[in-house]
Amino acid sequence: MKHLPALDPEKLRSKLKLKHLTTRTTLLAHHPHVAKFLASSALAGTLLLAPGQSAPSFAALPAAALAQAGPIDLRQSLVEKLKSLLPESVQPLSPQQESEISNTLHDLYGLHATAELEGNRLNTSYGLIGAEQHLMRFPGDYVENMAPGRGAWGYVEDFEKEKYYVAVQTLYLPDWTTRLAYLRDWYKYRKVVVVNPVNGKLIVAVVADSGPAAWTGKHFGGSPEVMAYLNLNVGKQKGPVVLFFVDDPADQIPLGPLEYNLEKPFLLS
Amino acid sequence: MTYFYDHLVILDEIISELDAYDLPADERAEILGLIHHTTHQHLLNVILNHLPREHHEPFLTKFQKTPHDPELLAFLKREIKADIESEIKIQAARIKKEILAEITKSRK
Repeated sequence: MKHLPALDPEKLRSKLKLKHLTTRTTLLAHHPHVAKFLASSALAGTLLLAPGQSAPSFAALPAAALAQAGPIDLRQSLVEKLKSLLPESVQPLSPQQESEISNTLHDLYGLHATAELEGNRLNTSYGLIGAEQHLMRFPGDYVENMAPGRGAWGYVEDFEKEKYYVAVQTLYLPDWTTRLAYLRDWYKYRKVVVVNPVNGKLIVAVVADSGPAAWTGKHFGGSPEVMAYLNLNVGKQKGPVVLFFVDDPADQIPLGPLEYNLEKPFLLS
Repeated sequence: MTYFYDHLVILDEIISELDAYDLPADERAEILGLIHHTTHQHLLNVILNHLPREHHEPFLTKFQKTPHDPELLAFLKREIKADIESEIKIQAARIKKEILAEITKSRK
C-alpha cells in the first residue's frame, strides 16, 4: 500500500460524474443517431448508462436532460441580452460591450470566453461569418464540399477539429508579420465560441484556417457543421456572429454545440 | 461486459492507483464504473468520428449484439482509412491520463 494523502471519494465521484456527462454529451451531440439507435438497445444499459441510473430514466435522454437544462430558455435569454448589448450592424465592440457579453456567456453557460486572451485579439469580435468548405485531414482525403488545398495549418488530422472549425482573419492582424512565429502557434486550433445573436445558438470550435479575404465583406468562416448548427447554412450562407476565445487551458470543454451550463451540470446528484 | 477493443485499453494503472487509497468496496465499484463508462463513451465517439456515416448503423447493430466480437475491429480497419487501432490506443491513453489527473486532484 502506498503512503499517499487520503482521497476525497466524494470529490472524485463528482469530478468523474462531470467527465462522464461531458463525454456522453459530446457523443450524443456529435452522433445524435446513437441515442435513437440505443434507445431500444442493450448497449444503452452498458455504454451509456451511468452507475446508479435506472434504464427508464436514461431512456429519455438526451432530450429530457436538455429540456431539464432549458436550452431554449438559455437561447432566448441570450438573444434578449445580446439585443441590448450589440450594435445594429456588425462592427468592433467596445471593451464594455465585450466585457458584458463575456459575463453573459458565463452566467448562462458557465463558459469563460473573452474577446482578448493572453494579450491576443482579433480585429473584430462581432462580424459576419460565411460558409467554408471541409478541410483535408490527410493526404488523399476527399469528401463532398472539400476545399481544394490544405488549411492554413496543414492537414487537420483530428477529425473533430475539422468538423468544428472556424477561419479567422489572422492575416489582417496588425502584428501578424512581425510576430508571425508566435501568433501562428497561438492561433493554431485556438478554441473559440461562435454565437448567433439572432437565434441564441452557440457552438465551440477551433481556429483551423485563415480567412476569409477582406473583399468578401465577411470576417469569419465556419465549417459546414458549424454553419448548419447556427442555422446559417441557408440563403446567402452568412450572418452576424460574436466570436470569442474560450479560456480552457485544461482542454475540458468539448467541441460542438453547447446547450447547457458547464458549471451547473444538471445530472449531478 | 467485454468489448472488442479491450486489449487496446489498459486501465490497470488507474485501478492500481485507486487501490492505493483503500476505498470502501461500494465506492470503489461506483468510481470504477464511472471510469469504464466514460472511457467507452469516449472511444465510441472516436470510432464514430472516423467511421463513414453510412457504416454507423451496421456497426452499431453488430456492436449491440456481440460487443466482444473481434470482427468488429476488423470491420473498422476495413472501413476507416486512418489507423483506428492506434487511434483507439492513443485516445484511451489520453483519457487514462486525464482520469489519473482527476484522482490526483481529489486528494485531501
